[in-house]
Amino acid sequence: MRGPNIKGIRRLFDDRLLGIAGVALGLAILWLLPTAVRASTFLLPGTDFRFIRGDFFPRVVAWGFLVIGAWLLVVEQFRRSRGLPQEPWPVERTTRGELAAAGRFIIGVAIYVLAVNSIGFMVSTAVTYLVLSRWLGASWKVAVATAVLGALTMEVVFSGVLGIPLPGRLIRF
Amino acid sequence: MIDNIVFGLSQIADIRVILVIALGVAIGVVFGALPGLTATMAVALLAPLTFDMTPLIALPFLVGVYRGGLHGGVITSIMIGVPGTPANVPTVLDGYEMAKQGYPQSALRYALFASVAGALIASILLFTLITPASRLALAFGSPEIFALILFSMTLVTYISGATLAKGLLAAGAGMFLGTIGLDPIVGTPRFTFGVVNLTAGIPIIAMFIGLFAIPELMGFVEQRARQKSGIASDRDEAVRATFSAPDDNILLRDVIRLYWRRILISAGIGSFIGVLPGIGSETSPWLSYAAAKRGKNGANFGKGEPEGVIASEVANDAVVGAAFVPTLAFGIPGDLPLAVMLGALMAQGIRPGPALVRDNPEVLFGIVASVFASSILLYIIVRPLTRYVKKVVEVPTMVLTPIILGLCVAGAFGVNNRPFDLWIMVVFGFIGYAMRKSGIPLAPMVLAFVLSKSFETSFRESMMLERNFSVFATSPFALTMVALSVLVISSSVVMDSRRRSQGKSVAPATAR
Repeated sequence: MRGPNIKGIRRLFDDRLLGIAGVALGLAILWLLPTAVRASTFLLPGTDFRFIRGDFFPRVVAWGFLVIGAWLLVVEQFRRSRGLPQEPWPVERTTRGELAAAGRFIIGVAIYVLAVNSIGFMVSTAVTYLVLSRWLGASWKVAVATAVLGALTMEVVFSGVLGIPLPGRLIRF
Repeated sequence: MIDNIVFGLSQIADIRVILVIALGVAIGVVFGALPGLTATMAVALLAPLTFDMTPLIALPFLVGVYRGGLHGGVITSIMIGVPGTPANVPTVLDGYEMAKQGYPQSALRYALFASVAGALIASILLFTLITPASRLALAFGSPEIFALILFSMTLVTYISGATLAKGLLAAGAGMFLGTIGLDPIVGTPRFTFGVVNLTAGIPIIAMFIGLFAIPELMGFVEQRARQKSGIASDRDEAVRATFSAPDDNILLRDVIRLYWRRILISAGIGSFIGVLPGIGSETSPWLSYAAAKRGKNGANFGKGEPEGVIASEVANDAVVGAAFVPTLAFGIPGDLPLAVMLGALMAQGIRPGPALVRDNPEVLFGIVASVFASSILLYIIVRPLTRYVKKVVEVPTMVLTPIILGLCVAGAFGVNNRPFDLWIMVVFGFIGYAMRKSGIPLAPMVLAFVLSKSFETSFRESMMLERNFSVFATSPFALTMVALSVLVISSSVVMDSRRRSQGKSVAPATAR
């Protein structure tokens, strides 16, 4: 997946991988259908009119995945066999460092969500703001100001002014 | 028509009504402008406050909130590339590009003028055509609705900027995700695997926050990593340099002079889609955008073309007025926020339906006049703010990123008050990031997800009518739409194959 003259990850998935994913997804849906869509298949007992049953639509989608996945595989194989150039990728290439940073960020968001549900919105938000600001290069002064003012404003605006409940019950102000 | 307009305006010719509409617009804009908060959420949260008000105070207020909320979504679409509502997705394509090129204020003004023009034209059409349009909408059955949705999704897949296969893959994923939850016909669970929180389906707001906002934040983080490794310059410095460039001072009269044809066509598309029950506002911007893309400026679409912003926003706001037709005349909400507003109307003891024109014409035409008035008030309130809104982009990434993340969490949680929704946001954040990096467009998936229930329901209801596919041939409209869909797909396949065999690229340079 790495381009010949490029340091870093050129594509997260290429067309073959996408094709395989499409086929796998289609097969998985077809495999799950009998258990995942049970009761609705008994619509209109006594008839075998499959087009109005609850499993028809997901089945069409599954076959769509299979066909498109196979299509991507065939087209990619055709391209390789003819030695045609690879499609220009519509997004900027990603370096390993960027990918690692994005990965750390999404893990951080997951930890924030865990924290927000257990220790409450305000404390977890303030800590997250502080850590994230510092990580992104803010000075301690800016980071602390963002953390304190940001979290406080969010709590006041959402809970106080708009009356929108925020997550967490353990620590609330 | 004049009688209807005079009658409608006389119902809201009260300073209190004008003030509550203005207040509603202002609150709506704030809601819509905050990533993750939507017009639906604003209407839902504020509707209970109106139950003690008289109908002609309560409903104009909610109309103001709805209009403001929809327009607020434009601000995030243009300034940070995160659509406030699904209907704003086409606006991102050119609006965000304009902002990145240093014209955020112009993009905001184009969008504002387009919104106001679309809503005003739709209001006038609404005053004029409410009765005949109601008859037309009644004539649309399941086959026509199915065919229209099919055509919309085909167009979106076609214009999404990726290869057809990837567009279809994305649309298929949206369709499948839309099947999770209760079966829309028989009400039995599908693909829920015993998870109670999935019974109502995947929470749409949390999903959209995940798909649109989280990958944007991951992009900020990537940029920082890139900057640290010396590959890129400081993003904030670059943004400051870009936005310090003089922006165009776009005037309303210039927009009307240059784009009056597009405004009229897009308003026509939006109004037509809006009167169709159940289609909602997600379809019309795409149809309008696709129609405009075939025009003389089509090659510039997706690269910061003002006509793209205008086409999308005129149609988006024209729907607002027109969507009140099925909502009020038949009790079938034309859109998600209107479904909430329908509840507020019923709480007022007013029964929407054909009898509304006969029994409560003052409410009906008062609401229509409120749509008209809210557009003018939107212009008055938002127009002076456009020069300050662009300051949002100048906020340093190190401050903006945590704040948006906090808003995402608050917004995702606020709709259903469930921690489950936060996890949906995280999961779809990852999916959205992977899709971006894979060149799979988000738009077909989003539209397919939003319309999947209507699509499936209309298909199954159609099949119940005739028990074979000939049901789509009996309606000239449905047949035409299905034929056009097949034509679009097949021509795309043929063109892709030809280009590929010639060793050329099949995908345009941008995909979102």
